[in-house]
Amino acid sequence: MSKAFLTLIKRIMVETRFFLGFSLLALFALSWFSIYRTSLSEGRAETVAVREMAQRGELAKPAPKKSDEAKKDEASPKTESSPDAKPEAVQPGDAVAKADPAKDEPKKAEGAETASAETKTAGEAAPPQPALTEEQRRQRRARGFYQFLGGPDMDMSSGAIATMLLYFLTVGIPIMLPLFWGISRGSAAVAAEIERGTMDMILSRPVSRSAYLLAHVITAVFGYLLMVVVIVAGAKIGESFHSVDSSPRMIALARPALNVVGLGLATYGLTIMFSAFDIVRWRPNMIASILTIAQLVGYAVANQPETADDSWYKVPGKFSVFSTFYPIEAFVKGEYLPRHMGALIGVFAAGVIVALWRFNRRDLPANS
Amino acid sequence: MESIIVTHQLTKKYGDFYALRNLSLEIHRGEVFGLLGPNGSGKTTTIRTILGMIRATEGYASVAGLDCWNDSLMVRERVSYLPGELRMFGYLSGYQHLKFLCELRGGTGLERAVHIAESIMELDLNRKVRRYSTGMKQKLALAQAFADPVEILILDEPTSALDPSARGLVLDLVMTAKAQGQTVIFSGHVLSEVERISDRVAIMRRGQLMHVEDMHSRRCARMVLARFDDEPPHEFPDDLGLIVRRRDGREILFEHQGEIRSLLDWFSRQGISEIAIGTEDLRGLYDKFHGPDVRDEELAPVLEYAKP
Repeated sequence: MSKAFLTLIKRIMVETRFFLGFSLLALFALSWFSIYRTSLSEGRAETVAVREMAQRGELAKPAPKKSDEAKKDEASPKTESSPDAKPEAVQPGDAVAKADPAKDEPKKAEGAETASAETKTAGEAAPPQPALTEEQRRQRRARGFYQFLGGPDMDMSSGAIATMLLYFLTVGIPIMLPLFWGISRGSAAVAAEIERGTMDMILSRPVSRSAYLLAHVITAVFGYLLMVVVIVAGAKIGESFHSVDSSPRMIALARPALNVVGLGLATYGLTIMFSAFDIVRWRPNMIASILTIAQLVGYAVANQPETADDSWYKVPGKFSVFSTFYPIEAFVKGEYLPRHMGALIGVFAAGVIVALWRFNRRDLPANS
Repeated sequence: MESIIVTHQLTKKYGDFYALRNLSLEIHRGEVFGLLGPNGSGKTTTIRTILGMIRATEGYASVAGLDCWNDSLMVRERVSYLPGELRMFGYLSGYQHLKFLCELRGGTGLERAVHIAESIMELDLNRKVRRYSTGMKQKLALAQAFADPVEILILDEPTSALDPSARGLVLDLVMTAKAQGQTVIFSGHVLSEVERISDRVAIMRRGQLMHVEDMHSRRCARMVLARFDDEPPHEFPDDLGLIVRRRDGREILFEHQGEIRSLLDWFSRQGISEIAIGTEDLRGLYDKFHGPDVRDEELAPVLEYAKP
């Protein structure tokens, strides 16, 4: 690597040190925190109960499909004396999407909270239901909760719980930070440099445009790799302070981290592509942000509960990078991770290639 | 003389607007070449095309035989550039800024840049660039440009934002660069500066080359204003080297090149009531192309560069 290239990389790292440093610190702390919370939750009765269900394979089973009769029974009023008037046994996880063995993709549990007792017609007395204990209610909620977030593959190991806590119960920060980093670095690569006026100073030196852009790309990728490292390090260091029942392997912790930085890389690829066409930073920022939000909304729409697979609802999900984000599956098995990472890296690479193509051909406007 | 920079029918069009039109120019190795013209005349576009920052719509530009767009990297190895609108990395100190730019050229020239910045420009290189005044930033950039071990210096308005003494320093540095064999392209608005140091000057207007003046010849030329007692003759002896620039009744303004003694001798035999001899500054030439009353249709751009 030439001295000029290393100098460019060094400069970019210096410029981004605060944002990257804060992001790494936050990810490290949250990863540690997830281990801490895991160690606390493992002492709870509902966790023990749900774990036993997982060991028995009950978590992996799809929720039993209600027969037509059962549905009719639920719809029609039942008297207290009717032997068929069974209390509505509502499981929070009953609305889980069925795990279809014919399909490759894992499905997250859907609409765990949407299954609810059928309302009785007005004026009719509800049949008496056996009272659930507080403990049973908590277990039911925990099961549905874990199943919703972890899907049928969740094995309730310490690492799986920690992964769930990290990516889903920290206000989405470990997902947002790689996305923010990607948008920030992508727009900085070309558009911000032109807007700032420093592009002239750099490219009047014997530095090729490709080298300039690749220096930005390498810095961004390096930042993402650091994120993977700190997430794993946070968990392992946290483990030395807070004991958990089963020590997660580093490679298993790294897999969901790779999945999330893969999201970030894809976002970065798209942003740098827009940046290569532009002369002001705010526009690629805006376009990339809108695109990211649109993909998130598309993903949410596609994963509404109880939608048929051929429904138009599913279409937006096909174009969303978030459809490749399965951190818990990545932790537990990682079976789909290569395919998901392939798609995400493919988006990243396509964006970088277009950015290189455009940047090498465009005029660089004079400072104003 | 060997040409180091050549442009041929260089044209840059943005939609229907011509930023450059049919610019054909040759800049010789080792000369100081001045580029004159008002804002929007195409000076910066020409420079940026040479540096490979802009791709020409038609025509070509080459530096030392290298195509300015396709071989831009090799061109920039030979060129040091001072942009007209300067922007720097404010968070770096002066020294760090010099070091950064030197490292982009493989690490060469740092010592010389520091020497120029500290000893000649009298800058405090420990201070952050954002704490520099505009003139100090200009000086820092100049120190960088003059320190680069390159064949060609391109200085776009190098004396803007500088105080008079600093301007003089810059002009001295240009002459030193020339003495060391470097070719300097000097683009500016201050006619006296361009006139003082340039070997040749190109005057541009609306993206076209209007005129290239040899400043050596210009410095040798004299302007003679003579008032005759009677009606002055219509023709003058060829061997006197006189060119009539303006007639105003009995007053004639001549341009003269050649032996002054024979001219004075001839004048002494004419009925002359007054005579004044001087040199014409660049202003007169510049005003021919950019004066307030000049109209485009009266001017003919230089389409093909004619070697002397």
